[in-house]
Amino acid sequence: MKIDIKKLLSSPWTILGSILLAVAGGVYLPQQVLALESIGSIYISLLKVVVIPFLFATILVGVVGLLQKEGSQSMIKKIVIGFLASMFMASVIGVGSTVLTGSEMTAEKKVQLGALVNNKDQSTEMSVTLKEPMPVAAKPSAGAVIQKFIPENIFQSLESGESLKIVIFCLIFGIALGNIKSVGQEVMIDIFKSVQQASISIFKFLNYFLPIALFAMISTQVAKVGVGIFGTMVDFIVQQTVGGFVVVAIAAVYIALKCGKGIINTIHTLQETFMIAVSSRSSLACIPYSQEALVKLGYNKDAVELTTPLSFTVNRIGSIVYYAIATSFIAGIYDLSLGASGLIVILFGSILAGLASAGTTGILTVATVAVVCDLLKLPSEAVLVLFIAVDPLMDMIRTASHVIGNMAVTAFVADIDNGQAERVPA
Amino acid sequence: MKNLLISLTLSVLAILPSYAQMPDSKVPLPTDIAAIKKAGKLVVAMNGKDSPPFFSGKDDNLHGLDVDIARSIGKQLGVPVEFRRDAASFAEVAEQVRDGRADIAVSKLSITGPRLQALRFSAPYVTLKQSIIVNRLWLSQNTKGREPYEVIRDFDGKISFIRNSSYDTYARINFPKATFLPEDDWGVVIANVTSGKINAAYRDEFEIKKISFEKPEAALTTKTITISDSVDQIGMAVRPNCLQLLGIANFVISSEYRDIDVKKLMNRYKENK
Repeated sequence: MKIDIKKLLSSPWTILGSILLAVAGGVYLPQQVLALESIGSIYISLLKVVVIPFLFATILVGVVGLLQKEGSQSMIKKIVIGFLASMFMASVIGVGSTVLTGSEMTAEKKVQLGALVNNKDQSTEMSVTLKEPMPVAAKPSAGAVIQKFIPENIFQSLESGESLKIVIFCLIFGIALGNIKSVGQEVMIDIFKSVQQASISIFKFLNYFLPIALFAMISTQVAKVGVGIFGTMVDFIVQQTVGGFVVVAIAAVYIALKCGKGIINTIHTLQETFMIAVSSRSSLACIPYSQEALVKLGYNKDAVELTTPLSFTVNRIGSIVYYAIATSFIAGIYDLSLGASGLIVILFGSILAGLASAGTTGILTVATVAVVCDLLKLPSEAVLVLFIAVDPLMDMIRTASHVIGNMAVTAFVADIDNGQAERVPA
Repeated sequence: MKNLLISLTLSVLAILPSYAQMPDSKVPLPTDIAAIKKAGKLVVAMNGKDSPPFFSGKDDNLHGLDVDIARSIGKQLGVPVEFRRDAASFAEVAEQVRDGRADIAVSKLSITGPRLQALRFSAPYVTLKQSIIVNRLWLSQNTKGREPYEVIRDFDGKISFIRNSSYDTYARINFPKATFLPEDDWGVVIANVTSGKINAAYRDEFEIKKISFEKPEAALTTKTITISDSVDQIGMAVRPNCLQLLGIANFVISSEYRDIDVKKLMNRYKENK
């Protein structure tokens, strides 16, 4: 009996059902489902409970494993190539989907969008003085930008959950640990392997609550955005959905082709990670699920465990697609015809913005669209209000394309084990 | 006790008529008041173009803050109010008071240096800040690495305002590097700044805020910037020798219309919409 409940809870049909119910609930009973918001946030908090120790343990184990294996040079090369190629592809997909699905920005649409901006607070107003001194905003220097990536106090980073700094610390520390030859090293690796396994078992337990959490999280997101704004922002939402879908589709096909397990089987294996991505909107929470899925498909465990945390935190595929589409949308609002040169600026600007957005989440990620807009001398501030209003949904798409896209990057880096798992390291 | 009550009642009765009119006196009224009483009406100059929530509507439907204030003054004087609405500009409103076609201007009139040379103003009943609305695309394209406030301070684009209004004066003082494009119709100014034909428009913060309500797309295409160290004081104007009338105007402001700011105006405006 107990097994039946477990099976039922983890069945894809249950999950699909809860998503459909959630969307319906968000649309028709927005007030009621908003009361469920805490269930969703409790679930995300529970997932995050083990994410940090898991991340820490996994990268350390991965780096040490890599250093002890032959061919670590070629893997690093592959990671770099994988990152660059995937970022470029993401940007091409973003630009491509706006070129293909772009629609004209009519005067009527502008009136509707403007009314939406008006409804969302007067946050775009500013005041200046003509004579009295203005408070000078500190401009971030290049040094300050680099400092953002240095974990000067790893315990502080662990406490505040700065994933990027944690990853960088683990890389540095892992390389050092991998190069010392002592009994201590082995003991430490064994400890972290246990941490890793314990975290995974907690994740698996939490999975049983996924259908309920999924319902709570998705319905509240739908309710928050509201149906009204969909109509006015429909062009943008469609473009982002198309862009995200293309990334996910290409990534899934690549993962399937390389492992040779067939499309259907691969999609089935990726489905859980995809659901977590869409509902939690936290790529960090997806790391353990994506690792499990890739290993299940036959990808080398060591390579997967090292590459996923790195690519998930640094290689912002989802954001790059988002920025490319968002910038084209803004250009449409200001009647700026982009031409070939404008599209090239968006292509590379979006990659730049993706790099700049490393370590950011939520509204801060959305606001980084200013990096591309500045290159084109486009104002982004007013439209940002609209982007933030629909972001609960856009974040789902961003996270999904980011997670599945980076799983493909990992698949590119990792070899297929061909059944002979655990090639004994030296 | 009973006597006290009676005497109290009597004294109240004695005061009542004196509230409605001055106690009998052999001394004639001051000349400005005497002239109004003789004419049997208070003639108020008010710009012919509606400017809600200050004044809008026609004849019986005429309403707004300035209309209320003018009627309050008429009540104090005990005469009906006649609104003169044939002035096509704020400058003409001021001129009508100067040459005696009207007794007082209650017409969202800004207190400015040039006007103070010829007219006497009441205490301000509305204090606003000056505001500039800038085309966003122009602003992004002309930042040249400067902070937005620096772009405004050194404004060198095309700026529009109402011809012969107080902002005609302010613009030339505050933005000497700009190209000045005065317009008669504020609607034209708004259309030009949202379309990008001109780069900025200059008026009080209330009128600037109002734009995005009347033309929602302006929220996307333009940015409103309030100049926090500036003022635009709205007052009533009379001829220099009409000091008695001015006293009544000031009394009405201090007793009924104190501290009106942009927020209160905006609420009044939204209620009427």
